[in-house]
Amino acid sequence: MFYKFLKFIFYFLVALFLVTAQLALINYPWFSFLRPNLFVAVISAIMMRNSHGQIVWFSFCLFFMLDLFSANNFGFYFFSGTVSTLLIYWFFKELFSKQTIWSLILMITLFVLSIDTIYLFLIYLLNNFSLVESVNYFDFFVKMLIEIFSSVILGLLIYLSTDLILKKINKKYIIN
Amino acid sequence: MNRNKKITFLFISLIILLTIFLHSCGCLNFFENFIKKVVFSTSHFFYKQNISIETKELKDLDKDTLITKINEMAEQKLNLENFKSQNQMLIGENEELKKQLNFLRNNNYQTIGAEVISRAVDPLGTTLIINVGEKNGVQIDNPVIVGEGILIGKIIKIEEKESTVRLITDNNSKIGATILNQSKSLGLVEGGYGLGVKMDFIPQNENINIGDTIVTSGLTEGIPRGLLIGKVEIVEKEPHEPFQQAILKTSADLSYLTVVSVIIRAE
Repeated sequence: MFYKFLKFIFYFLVALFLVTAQLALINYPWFSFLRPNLFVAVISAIMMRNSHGQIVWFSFCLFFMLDLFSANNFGFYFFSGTVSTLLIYWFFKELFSKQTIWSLILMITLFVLSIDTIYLFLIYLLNNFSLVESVNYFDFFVKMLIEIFSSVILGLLIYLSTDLILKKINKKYIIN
Repeated sequence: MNRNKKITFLFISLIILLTIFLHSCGCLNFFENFIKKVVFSTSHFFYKQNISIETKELKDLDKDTLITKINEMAEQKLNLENFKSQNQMLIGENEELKKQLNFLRNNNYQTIGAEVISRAVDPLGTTLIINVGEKNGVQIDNPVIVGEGILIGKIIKIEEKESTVRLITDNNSKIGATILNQSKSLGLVEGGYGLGVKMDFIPQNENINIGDTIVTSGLTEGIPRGLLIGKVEIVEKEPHEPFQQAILKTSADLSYLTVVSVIIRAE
């Protein structure tokens, strides 16, 4: 029980750190132009290493916190992010036979596509009831392409750097 | 999708909807305020740091001189540099506040001062978070100004203690405006990808000159007439089009906003 509690605290702190990092980085012009999805990159990199269902609850926590700082109504990021993580998790478990860099690239691409599609669907749905403003679909599409590109690069960087560090640690402390 | 997956999907969707419901009821306020406090304190630091890096003159320290100096002296120098940059920022903020105060004295606007905490998470927009909210009397569509009545945006979302400002450069920003020329041309000021501002729907037969001042027309809900937006930089006039466009140079530098005022009531 105590171990589970510690694990929860750890996940909460990591989520808090990631939200803080995302919000701190968004203040820099290059980041707000490229808009890499830090959460997608991190969740995908974690999923590649440890494909446990807890990742869905971690993303639940993460997107809940992110939505507190969004300019849209509460729930857009929260719903699209969490549901996308669940779908990608199933996709990863059922279809991906090899954990290679290519599968990571595909996973991040599908992840961003899924989030943006659900997000756009919610906007479209609520706009019909005049609850939210519509978005420019062309701009959104361009933004999505930039986001996929930058998120893939960020995801690869995170995955490869952690891979390198873990290999070094294994070699130094575990294998020897 | 098998039965188990369907149940899991429905279960998670239900939990999300329940959380959204609890959020809108305010039941999660304590938890949310804690997260906001932690995140904003860090984010605000980075926001200010970013502005301070871009605005202050970066003085390249001579490395050779530094090496020869005693460690203590070098540390003192760094502290002084830090103090100087902070001081420079405070002077800037002070001048900005004086300008705002001067404008507000001359007009019958009821305003509230606010500090920019961070940029908001927004897939397409250019939005900021400021540290005043519903509790301070801020309402949706309230205009946000800097300096001597320069419009920078309007409120699009309010929380208890924070609000989100949509800048005039935002893609979804549309504000009714008037050009201060002979015919007092009316049009619509629209943002473009967070990079610039243009004025559209200006009748083709009206004469616009580069350098003409543009102010709010008062036709947009919640935004009073006469707030400065910018000046005409380029005029785009196509003979076959019914309207002409003007590219504007905003009067406020929207990249370096630290203190702003929200007009909560215009008389």
